[in-house]
Amino acid sequence: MSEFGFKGKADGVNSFNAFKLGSDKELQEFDSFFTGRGGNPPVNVVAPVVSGGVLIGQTLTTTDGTWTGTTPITYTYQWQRNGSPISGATLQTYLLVYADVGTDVRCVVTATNAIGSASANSNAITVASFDSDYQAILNKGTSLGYTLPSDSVKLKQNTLLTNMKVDGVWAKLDVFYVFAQDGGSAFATLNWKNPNANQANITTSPTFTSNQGFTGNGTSSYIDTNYNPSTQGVNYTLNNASMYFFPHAFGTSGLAMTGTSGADNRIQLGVSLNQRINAGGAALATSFNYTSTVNPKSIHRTSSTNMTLLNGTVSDTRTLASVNVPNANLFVLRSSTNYGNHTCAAFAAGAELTAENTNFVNDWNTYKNSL
Amino acid sequence: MIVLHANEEQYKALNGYTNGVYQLIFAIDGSGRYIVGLEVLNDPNFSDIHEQLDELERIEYTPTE
Repeated sequence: MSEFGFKGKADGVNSFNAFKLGSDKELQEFDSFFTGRGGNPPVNVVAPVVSGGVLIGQTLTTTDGTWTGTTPITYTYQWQRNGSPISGATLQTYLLVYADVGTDVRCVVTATNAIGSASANSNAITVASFDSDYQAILNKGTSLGYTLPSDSVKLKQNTLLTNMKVDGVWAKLDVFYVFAQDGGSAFATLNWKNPNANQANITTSPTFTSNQGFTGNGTSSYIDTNYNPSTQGVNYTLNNASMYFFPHAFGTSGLAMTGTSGADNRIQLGVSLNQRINAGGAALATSFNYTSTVNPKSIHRTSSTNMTLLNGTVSDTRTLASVNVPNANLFVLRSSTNYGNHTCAAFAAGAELTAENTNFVNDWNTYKNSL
Repeated sequence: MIVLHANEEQYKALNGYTNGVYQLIFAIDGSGRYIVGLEVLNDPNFSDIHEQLDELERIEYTPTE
């Protein structure tokens, strides 16, 4: 566009005097007169608005905002993380990813017409961090040099933990170990309820398989939780207690799913009189069958006389008096001197959870089936 | 199934070996024998004691409740 114009009559030029155009508006009008491109460039009058989720895995969407200027106006988008462009994020929607956690994400909308272009910034969305309890688990794993789960599994674990809180499960547990994940085997030993306490030991070579858990050998391998309910139980008490075994698969050798080095606590596969929690050496009057269907198995001490045994969400009650809280570590894939070659995906213990069990089972199955 | 069997001396030398969160604990079968699964021979977490583990006797064992 020229900086100089000519004064004169458009329909019959008599004389022209060169003059300097004094403003952008004059420049535009002059340019429009000679080029026929009359109009105005885009000017933003209402900023774009970003809305949507604030958690990774959720989607943000931006409006174009409101613009004046010669139509047609077209729009392009560039998403930013803490003010820097996100490579490849140029659609009107944006899927939040792990790298966005704890940052401000916004969109810069650029409007373009035949006259020119202009940009406007949207509001910024602060992407939520992980739940503080889940972040503490990750921090512990990092400090110990463990291999953490992938970003996608972290998101799934965070969802599991928050769902357990919503469902009233989390507050009632003393220990919770999630073996089924795609981090290293050592990361699986952390106690989610308190990653600074009751870290489990991987005893005598159970096999660890990513996203499945630990498999016993039916002979000598198991997980020692280092959780002694007698000396460390908070929610777990004599007449209000639970143990959970979350199977990935069942083997064929040995019956033990969980237990202690004594006979007081046991969950065993199959039809058995030996299912017990805080019941000393006594056995049930009538057996209970923990079937080999893959669904969380649990046993709940609901009173000084009664236990509830759950196959997934199918429950039954048995009468067996409580005797003592075992003064021994809880084991996984072992009870007393018996070992099982099942594959365990998780283990939990705490207060009885008969009312919360269905939601807990659903929370777990949602997580496990997503791996 | 075949398992590794330790005598009293071998048991005292190896039982409780710990490498981080990985630990070796012998099971005691119904006859009072100290046994572990063959898996320990392939476990890199026990590579430092592999030679001692490899010296253990192989015996037949049938898991029971």
